[in-house]
Amino acid sequence: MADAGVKNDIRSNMWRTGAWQSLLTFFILSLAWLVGFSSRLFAVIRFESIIHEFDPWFNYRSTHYMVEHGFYNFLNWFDDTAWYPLGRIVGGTVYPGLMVTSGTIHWILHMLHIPVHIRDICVFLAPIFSGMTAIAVYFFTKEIWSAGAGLFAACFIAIVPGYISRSVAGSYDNEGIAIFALMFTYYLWIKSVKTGSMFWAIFTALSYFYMVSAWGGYVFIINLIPLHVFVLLLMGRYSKRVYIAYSTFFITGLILSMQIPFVGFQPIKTSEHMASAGVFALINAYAVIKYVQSFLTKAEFKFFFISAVGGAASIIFCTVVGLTWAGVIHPWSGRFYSLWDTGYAKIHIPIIASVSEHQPTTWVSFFFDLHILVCAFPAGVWYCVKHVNDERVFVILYAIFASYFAGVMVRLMLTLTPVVCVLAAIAFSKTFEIYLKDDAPKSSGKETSEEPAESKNDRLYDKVGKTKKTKEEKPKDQDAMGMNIKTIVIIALLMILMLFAVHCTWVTSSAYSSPSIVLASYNHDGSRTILDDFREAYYWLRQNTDDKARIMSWWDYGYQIAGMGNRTTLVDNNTWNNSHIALVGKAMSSNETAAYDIMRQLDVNYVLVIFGGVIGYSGDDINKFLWMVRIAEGEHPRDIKEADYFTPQGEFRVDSAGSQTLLNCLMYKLSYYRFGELQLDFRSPAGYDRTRGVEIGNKNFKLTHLEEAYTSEHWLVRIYKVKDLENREKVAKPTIPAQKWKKRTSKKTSRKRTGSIKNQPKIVKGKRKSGKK
Amino acid sequence: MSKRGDTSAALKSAPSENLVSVLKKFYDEYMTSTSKRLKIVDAYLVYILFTGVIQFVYCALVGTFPFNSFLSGFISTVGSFVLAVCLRLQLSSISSDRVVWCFHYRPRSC
Amino acid sequence: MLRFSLFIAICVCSVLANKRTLVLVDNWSIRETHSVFFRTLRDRGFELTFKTADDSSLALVKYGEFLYDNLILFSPSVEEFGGSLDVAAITNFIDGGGNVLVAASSDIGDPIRELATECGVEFDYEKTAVIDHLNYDIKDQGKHTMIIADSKNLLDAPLIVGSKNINPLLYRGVGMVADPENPLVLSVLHASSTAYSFSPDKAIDDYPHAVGKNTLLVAALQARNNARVVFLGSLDFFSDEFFTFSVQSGMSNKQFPKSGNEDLALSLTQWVFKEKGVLRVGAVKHNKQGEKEPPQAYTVFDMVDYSIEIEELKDGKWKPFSGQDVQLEFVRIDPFVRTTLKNSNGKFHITFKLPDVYGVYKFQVDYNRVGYTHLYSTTQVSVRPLQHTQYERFIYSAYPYYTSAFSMMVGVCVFSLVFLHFKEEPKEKKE
Repeated sequence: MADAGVKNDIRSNMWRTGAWQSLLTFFILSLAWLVGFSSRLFAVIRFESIIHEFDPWFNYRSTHYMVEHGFYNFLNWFDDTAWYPLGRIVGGTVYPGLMVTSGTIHWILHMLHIPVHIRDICVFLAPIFSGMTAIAVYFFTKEIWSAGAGLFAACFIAIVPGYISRSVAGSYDNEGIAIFALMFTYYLWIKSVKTGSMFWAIFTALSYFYMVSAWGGYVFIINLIPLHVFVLLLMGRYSKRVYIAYSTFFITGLILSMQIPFVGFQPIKTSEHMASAGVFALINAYAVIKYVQSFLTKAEFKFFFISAVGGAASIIFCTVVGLTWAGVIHPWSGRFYSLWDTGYAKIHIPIIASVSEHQPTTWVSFFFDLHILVCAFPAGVWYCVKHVNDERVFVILYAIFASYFAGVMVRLMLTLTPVVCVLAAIAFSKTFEIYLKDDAPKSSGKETSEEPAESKNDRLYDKVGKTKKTKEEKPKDQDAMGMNIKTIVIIALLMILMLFAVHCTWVTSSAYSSPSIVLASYNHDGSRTILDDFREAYYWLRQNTDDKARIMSWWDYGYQIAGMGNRTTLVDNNTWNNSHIALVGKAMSSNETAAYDIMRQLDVNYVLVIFGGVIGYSGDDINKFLWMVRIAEGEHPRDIKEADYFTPQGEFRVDSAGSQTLLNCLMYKLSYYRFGELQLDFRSPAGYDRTRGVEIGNKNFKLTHLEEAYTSEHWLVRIYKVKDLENREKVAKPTIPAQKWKKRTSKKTSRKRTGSIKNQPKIVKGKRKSGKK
Repeated sequence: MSKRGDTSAALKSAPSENLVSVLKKFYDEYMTSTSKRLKIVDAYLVYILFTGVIQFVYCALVGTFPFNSFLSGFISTVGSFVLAVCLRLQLSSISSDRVVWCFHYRPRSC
Repeated sequence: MLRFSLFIAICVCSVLANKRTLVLVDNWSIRETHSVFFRTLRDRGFELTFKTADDSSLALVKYGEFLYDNLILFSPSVEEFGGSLDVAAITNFIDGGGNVLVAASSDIGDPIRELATECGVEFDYEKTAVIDHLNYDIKDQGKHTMIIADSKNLLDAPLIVGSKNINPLLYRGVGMVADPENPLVLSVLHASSTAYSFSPDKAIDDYPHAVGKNTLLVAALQARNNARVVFLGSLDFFSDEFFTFSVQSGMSNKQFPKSGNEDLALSLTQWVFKEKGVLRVGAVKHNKQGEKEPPQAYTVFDMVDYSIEIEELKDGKWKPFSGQDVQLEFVRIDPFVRTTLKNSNGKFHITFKLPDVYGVYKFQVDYNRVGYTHLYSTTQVSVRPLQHTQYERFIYSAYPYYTSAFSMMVGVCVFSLVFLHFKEEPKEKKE
C-alpha cells in the first residue's frame, strides 16, 4: 500500500506540469544559447580565430597588457606609443569592463590549469555573452508578461541580426557585453519595482555599475529609469515600492558609477545625468508631501502642498539652470547632443559626422536587422498599453525612445533590438495563446463566457426556440470554423518564424561575418581568393622598421597598426584630440613640401596609406579624403579650403579634369605613385583606377621628400619612408642663368679614362734656355 | 485653478498663523501617532541629515578642493539617509498592514 | 715585437686618420708656383697626393671606402675629370664626410661650376673676373682684375678666418654669388662695394651678375653632416707670389709689405680640414634627482638632472669645450623648458623641474654656431601622469569628510544594534 502510495506520488510528481515546464525552459534556453553561439562562428570557420575590424584591436591590446602586467598597472597605464607625442592615459580613457571580464575569465581558466590564450578568450567572449543575454531577456520578459513570451524573446534575441552585427566571434567590442548588462539591469529594475525590496534595488545598482564599466551607452539606462519613475508619478502610480526601488538604485548607482576613472565626476557635472538627479529630488519631495498629507486635512494640506511644491520646484529649476549657465554643469556633449539636433554634427564636429555608423538609419536597415519582429513590435506595444501596469509602462517608454534613437543613428539599432525582441515575443505569445487555446465544449475554458454553459443547458432540455437555436448553433459553428482558422494561423505563424530564422542565418553569414582585416573575393568559378594585404603590410612594419619608428596614417588604422605592427602611431580611432587629427589631415591634403614640414615637426618616420585602385576596394583613403580635408579645414581654415579640391563644376575627380590642388596633394601622390606605369589588363589604359573607374590625371611624377618603402601584394597598403633633410642645399633659383648652348658630351670611354683640361700648357720638350753652356 | 484662488484669498487674511498652526499640528500628530521603532529610525535620520548639512555648509565655505573626499562624505550621508528612509517605509507599511515580513524573504511569490 | 710594431703602425694611422689629401692640379707647374702653401700643409702633417685632373687613375672610393679624407681642387680649367671622378663622385665624397677646398680662376670650367651649384654657390661665367676700379693693386696690368680685398670684408668668425687684423688680401679671379637664404653657406670674404664681376675684355652691355658686396670672393659651406667645403675664385690667391707680394693700392699710397694671403690661407685650411672648430658629444646622462639610472618613464613634476659632455678638437687633441651658451630644450612639438646649461670643465649639466603636462618629450641640445660643427643631440623620454597612488593622501582640509564617512559607518552599526534589540512595549508584539 505504502509502495503504491509512494509510486503514485512519484508518478504524479513526474507528470506535474511545473517540472515539465522547468525542464522545457532549461532545455529551450540552453538551445537558444547554443544556437546563438554557433550562429556567430561563421567568420571563425571561414577564416580563422582573429580579432576583427579596428576598435577590437585596441581592446585586445589593452586586455593583453592587463593580463601581462596586472590590473593596477593597467589602470595606471600611460601609453606613449599612441598619439605621439601626446601620449594617452589608457586607464583613464577606457571603459575597463570588457578587459576585466576577459581578464577574469582568463584568470579563472588558468587557475584551473586550462591554458587558453587571451586572444581566443577575446574572440569568443561576445558569442558566450550572447547566450547570457538571451537568458537575461528571458527573465525580463517573464517579469513583464509571461514565461512563454520570455522563451520567445530569448530565442529571438539569440539569432536576431541587429544584435549579431556587434557580437560576432572576433568582434571584441564593448557592445558584446554591454547588451547583456543592459538587459540584466533592466530585469533587476523591473524586479525591484515589482517587489519594492532594497535587495533587488542594490543588485540593480551593482548591475548598473557593471554596465557603466562596460559601455558609454549607460547614459541610456540612467535616463530611461528616471523617465519611467517620472511617468509613473505623472500617471498617479506612485507607491512605496517605486520610491524604495528608485532612491536606493539612484544613490548607490551614483557612487558606484563614479568609481570608473573614465566616468569620473560626469554623473554630477554633465547635463546627461541631470535628469536622474532631478527625478530623485522630485520623488523625495513627492514622498515627503505624501507623508505630510497623512497628518493634515485637505485644506491645510493643499496650502502646504502648493507652497512647498512651488518653492521646491522653482529652487531646483533655478539651481540646475544657473549651474548650467555658469558652466559648472557641462552641457550635453557633442556625441549625445547630435542625437537631438541631427544637423549639428555635420557642421560643427565633422569627426562625429564622418563615421559611417553615425549616419541616419534607412528603412532597409530596419527590415534587414529585425525582419518580421519589427512588424510584430507595434502589436506588442499595443498589448502592453492595453493591459498596462508599472512594468509595462517601462517597456513602452523603452520602445518609444529606442525607436527614436535607432532612427537617428545606425549604430543605435543595437539598443532597439532587445526591446523589439521582447515586444514581438509578447505579440507572438499572445497570438499563440489565443489561437492555441483549446476551447472545445467539454473542457473547462478559463475565460469562456457564460454562453457555452447556457447552450449546454439548453441542449439538455431540448427546447427549440429561434433565438436559442441560433445561440446553440453559433458556438458550434464558431468552434468548427475556429479550429480551421486557428490551425491555419498557427501554421502561418510558424512558417513566418521559420523564415525569420532562415533570414537571420543568411544575414549573419553574408553581411556580418566579415573580419574586414582579411578580404575574400570569389572568382567566377566559385573559388575564393584571400586578400591578406593588411596583415602582410603590418607585419612588414613590425619586422623591418626600427622599434621606435613613428607611423603616420589616417586615424582609422591607428589601432591596427598598434596592435599588429606594434609601432608608435600619431592618431588612432580614439579620436580624442581633434587638433592632432586635423594636423595629420592637413599634412595629407597639402602639397609635398608643406606636408614635409609638418612631418618633420611631428618626427614622422613612415607614412601609411590604403589604396584600393588595383582591386577595386572602396574603403580606401582617396574615398575618405574629403573627410580629411573637412577636418583639416575645421582647424586651419586659411590653409585648407574644401572647394579647392573640387573641379569648377563641383565634382570630385581624380582624372585629368580634376583640380590641381587635388592632383598634387600628398595623399594623391602617395596613393598613385608609380601607378601610372601599371596596366591592369589590356583593355584599360595604364593607370586605370578600378575603384573610381577613371584613368588618373597625374602620372609619372617623382617624390622629393619621401621614398617608397613597401607596397603590399595587391597595392592595398603602401608604406613610404620620410627622408632626412638634404645634406647640401643646392641652388634652387639660379641668379646666374645657365648657358644653354653648351653641350656636354663625355669623352671618356670604358678603356680610356683620361679627362680633359682646356688651356693645357703646351710642354715643349727639349728646349733649354739658350744661355746654357 | 479657481479653487487655488479661493484658498489663497481665504488664506491671505492670516498666512503666518496658518503656516505655524499647520506645522504645530503636524508635530503633535507625529509625536502621538508614530511608534517607538519608527521614532528610533527618525532619530537616526535626523542625525544623518545633520551630518550631511554640516558637510555641505563646510564645503560651501572652504571650497571644493578635495572634491573626491567631499563627494564621498556627502554621498555616504545621502545614501545612508535614503536607505534608512526605505527601511522606515517598509516598517510603516508593515505596521499599517499588520502583515508578516514575508515578502522580503520570498520575492518570487510577489 | 710584431705586436708592438703593429701597435705603432695603428697609432700612426690613427694620427694620420684624417690627413690623407688628394690634390688635383691642372698642370704640374702649380706644384712649384704654390710650393709654400703645400709645404705648410705638409708641415702640419697632411699627406698630399698630387695628380692631374685628367689622370685616368683617379678614384676617391675603393671597395666602398674613401681613399682620402680631404680633396684640394686646384684645377679650375678642367673640362672633365679623369678616372672615375666626376661631379657626382665629389658630391658623394662630401656627403660621405670628406672636406673639399676648391680654387677657381677666370678660366673656370664647367665641372667646377657644377660642383659649386651643387653646394649652393654660383660661380660667374668663364673668362669673367672680379673687377674693382677703386681697389686694384698697382701691379695690375690695366684691366683692374688684381684687386685688393680689405680684411674688414671678412666674416666675423675667428674660427674660420682667424684674426681680422691682417693685411689686405690680393685676389685675382672669378666671382661668386650665394643665396643669402641658404642656411648652410657662409660668405667668408666678400668684395668691396665698388667691385663687380664681368668679363674684362667686353664692353658692359648687360647688368653684371655680381655687384658690390654681393660678390663673394671666398665662400664656405658646412653641410648637415659637418663636411666642409670652401670655394675661392682665385687660384693665384694661394700662389707663392701673392703670399710674398707687397700690397699697394693704385688709388692711394698706403703700402703693406706683405699681403695677408698666407694668414688667411692658414686659417681657412685649418678650418676646412677640420683642425679647428670641431665639436663632439660624449656621454649624455639623465636621471631623476638623487638617482643613478634613468627611470623607465618620468612622472610629471619630477626634478631631473641632465648632463652632456662636449669636447672640442684643439691641436689634434680632444679638450673639454669651453662654451658658455649651450642650451637645452625640453621639447614636445614646442619647447616647454629652455635653459642654458652650466659648464663645468666640458660637462654641461642642469637640474630642472618637469612641466605638468604629460607626453613624449625630447631632451634636445641643438648647438649651431658659425665656425663650429653642428651639434645635435636628442634623447626621447616619456613623462607620465601621476599614478593613482601618488596623489596627496590625508589632506587636512578633508578631515571633516573622513570623519563623516566613518561616523556613518559607526552610526549604521550602532543603529542596527539598537534597532534589532529594541523591544516594543507589550501591547504591540513584533516578531
